[in-house]
Amino acid sequence: MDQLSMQRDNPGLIDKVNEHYQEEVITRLLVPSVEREGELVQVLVSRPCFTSRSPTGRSTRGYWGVVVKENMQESEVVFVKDVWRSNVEGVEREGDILRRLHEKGVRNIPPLVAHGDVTEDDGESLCESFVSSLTKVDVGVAQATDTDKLARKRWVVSLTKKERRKLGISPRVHYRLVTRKAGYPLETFSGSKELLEGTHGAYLGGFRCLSTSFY
Amino acid sequence: MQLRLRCSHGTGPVVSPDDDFFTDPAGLENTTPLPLCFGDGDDSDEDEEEEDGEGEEEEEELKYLDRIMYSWGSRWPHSFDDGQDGEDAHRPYRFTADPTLDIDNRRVAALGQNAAYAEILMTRQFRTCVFSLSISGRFVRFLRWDREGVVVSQAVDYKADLSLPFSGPSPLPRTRNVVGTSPLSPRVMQRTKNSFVTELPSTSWINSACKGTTRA
Repeated sequence: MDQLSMQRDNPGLIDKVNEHYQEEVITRLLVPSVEREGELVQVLVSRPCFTSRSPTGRSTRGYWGVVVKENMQESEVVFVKDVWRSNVEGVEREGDILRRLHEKGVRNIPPLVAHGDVTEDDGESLCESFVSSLTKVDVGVAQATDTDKLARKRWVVSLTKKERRKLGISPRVHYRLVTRKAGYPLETFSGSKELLEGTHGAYLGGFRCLSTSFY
Repeated sequence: MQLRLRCSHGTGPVVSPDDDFFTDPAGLENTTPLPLCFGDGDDSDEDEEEEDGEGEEEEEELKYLDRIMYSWGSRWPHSFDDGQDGEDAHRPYRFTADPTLDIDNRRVAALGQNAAYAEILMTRQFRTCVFSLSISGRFVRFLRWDREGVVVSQAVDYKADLSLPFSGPSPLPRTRNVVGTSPLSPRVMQRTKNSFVTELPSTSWINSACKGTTRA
């Protein structure tokens, strides 16, 4: 179906698509699958629906992405969260928490499709043989920040111990999380029924997460 | 950019190309993922703690830095000047505690411009880090920005130090698997455009770059 007839049949659809897709701009992400261990999920993303404006910190980006299956026929819309997660001991990865909650049977939380750290070569070595095989290979070290390492070097001047603590520099690692539900922001609700149902579901989900003693 | 600068601390900048640079210009055999390293080449001191004992003056200096770096927050491990007053008139980033000094304001502006460029690059593209140069007269500083902060080198006199090694950029800083650049989300785009254009009137290229993303 070409774009014109699509616009005629579904007024507003093109606009909705254009919120998440910019022509000729597509990025392919390869994320370790959750359902099938050792494999990668291919997600195509274009325009983020949320971009963090802060240059430091997690730098969260949210995308609507399309998962393309190996047979290139099926596809589904997913939500991709791209963050620079804090890589210190005691801070769990979001995907691991989600997974444990699912194992405990918590409902009203998004189903996990794939998650994992982004590696330096970002699956580049898999490019040529992508369609035939999505088997995960050892793809090397994760993309990480270096400022935290450099900050401890001897040649860094003007820093006393106290000041160094104040800087609060911690290592970060590039991380992607793919979940199965892609939704619209809360403020786009169509009526009070939808708003109440939506918030009620979110409340139940949060309540069950807290009340489930999964530790 | 596989580049190793050896800046000796306290006696002024001494820059010499690392041996690796000539034997392995592309850095292919170098196992460290760090594309640019400012240091004395000795990694054994990585976790060495500096001694306390810097004076009040240093404290003041840092506070001032905190205030001006709105975007990178207080995340500033810096290899600022080696304290040779009088000589550093040409150098960027010799901040004092007095914000009314004109020379300081200009340095802050120059640094802010660098920060704005790095910020835009990291917002619009997938990057693990961004390099930038800050040049003032005969002196150049190398800056390396990533998601946790920025590292600034000492000022290097590039006319005197002709041995300063340069090489082509390696593909490391940029994440691959990308067709085109990563556009901003529609909501952020307008805000970004407004704020940057009003903050930096001289940077017309930012304006045109932002325009490029609004076709929809």
